[in-house]
Amino acid sequence: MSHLGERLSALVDGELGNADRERVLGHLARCQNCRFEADMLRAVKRRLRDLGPAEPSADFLGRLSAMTAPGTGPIDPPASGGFGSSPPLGSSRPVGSQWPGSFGRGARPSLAVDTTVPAEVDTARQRSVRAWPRWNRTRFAVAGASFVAVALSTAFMAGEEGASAPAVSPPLSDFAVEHAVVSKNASLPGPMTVPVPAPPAIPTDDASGRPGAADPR
Amino acid sequence: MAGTDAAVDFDQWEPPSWDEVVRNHSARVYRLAYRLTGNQHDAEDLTQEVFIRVFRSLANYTPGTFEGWLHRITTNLFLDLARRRARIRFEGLPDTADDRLEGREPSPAQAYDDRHFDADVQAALDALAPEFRAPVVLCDIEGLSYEEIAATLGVKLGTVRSRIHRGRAQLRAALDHRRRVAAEQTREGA
Repeated sequence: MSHLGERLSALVDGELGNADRERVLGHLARCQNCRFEADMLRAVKRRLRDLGPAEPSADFLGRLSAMTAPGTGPIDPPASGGFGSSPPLGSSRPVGSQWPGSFGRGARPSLAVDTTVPAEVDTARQRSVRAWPRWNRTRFAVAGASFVAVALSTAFMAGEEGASAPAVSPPLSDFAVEHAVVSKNASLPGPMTVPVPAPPAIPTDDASGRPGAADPR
Repeated sequence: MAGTDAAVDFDQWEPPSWDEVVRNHSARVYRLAYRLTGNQHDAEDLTQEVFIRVFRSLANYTPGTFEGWLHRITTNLFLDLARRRARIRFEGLPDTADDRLEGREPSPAQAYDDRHFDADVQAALDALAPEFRAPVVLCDIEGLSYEEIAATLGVKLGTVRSRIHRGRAQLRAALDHRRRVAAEQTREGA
């Protein structure tokens, strides 16, 4: 085996300091064994780097984009037929490809290296155990996402109302007064916010209250 | 607008729109997710979980951290998932376990079909323990430095170095093994 251990990988990755690097290279110059090891590590690295791109499907990208609209996207897991029913690109493992109906509940025991076959278990209990954490998490996520969206939109609306009411009303009442003067007619069948001060001679009523403004004395 | 441009232009910075985020980063996240999980189904699942988190915290996002942030979310969600599955496996497999286990050791026909380049490497990756797989993928496929990987995984630099080394050694052994098996089968078939 190699005399250099981890330092060989670090060399291949360009992660050795200068002094270390010199030492390792010096050793490689003398040790054929380690040169061979280094070549092997480089080959592995190259094969990983040269892996083709794994492209997401257009359908999947569409679903991601749709997450903007609250309540869509993450809430409904897609129909199981579309997913995993065709062999994944570049996958060599039939394990992952043939599981109808399991989208979003994950928990497939195929990720780690352990291949021991366990004893029989109470499968119904198992399934509920493995189904829930994942789904719960998704629901929390969905709730979170929807909440943010709702909060944002309501904040926007609230902000708009709050800001517009005081900013708009003074000019409007001015206009109402002006209009009344110009047209010599106090009736303004206008929008709900406009108080119509019947006699233009009493502008103080404007500020005091809208219902009172239209009140005849 | 390529994805690589996304992190560069900070001068007149505005929080990205959701559409931009998906457009600029989904392919990258998906690629990482695919190499970590080894299949389309899990990769889509993982990518979706990542984007749910991104969606929730887009408002808090500050410029300059997006790529690293995405790496971190993706990798750590993957490791969480893998740990959870490992625990479940420890408790026992569901009733359909037999179907799933069947694929673990490839049948001769499968092994023959699988002698595709990428598929070999992906299978060898899948055979790595997640703790080794993540740093190797981040290093060799995503091109991160040891320091970046240490930050992503929240472990020490020395740990990164040792895991990458051991992971690569296992990869190499797995690839050798697959090559030998394939060669034997060709001989038998001939």
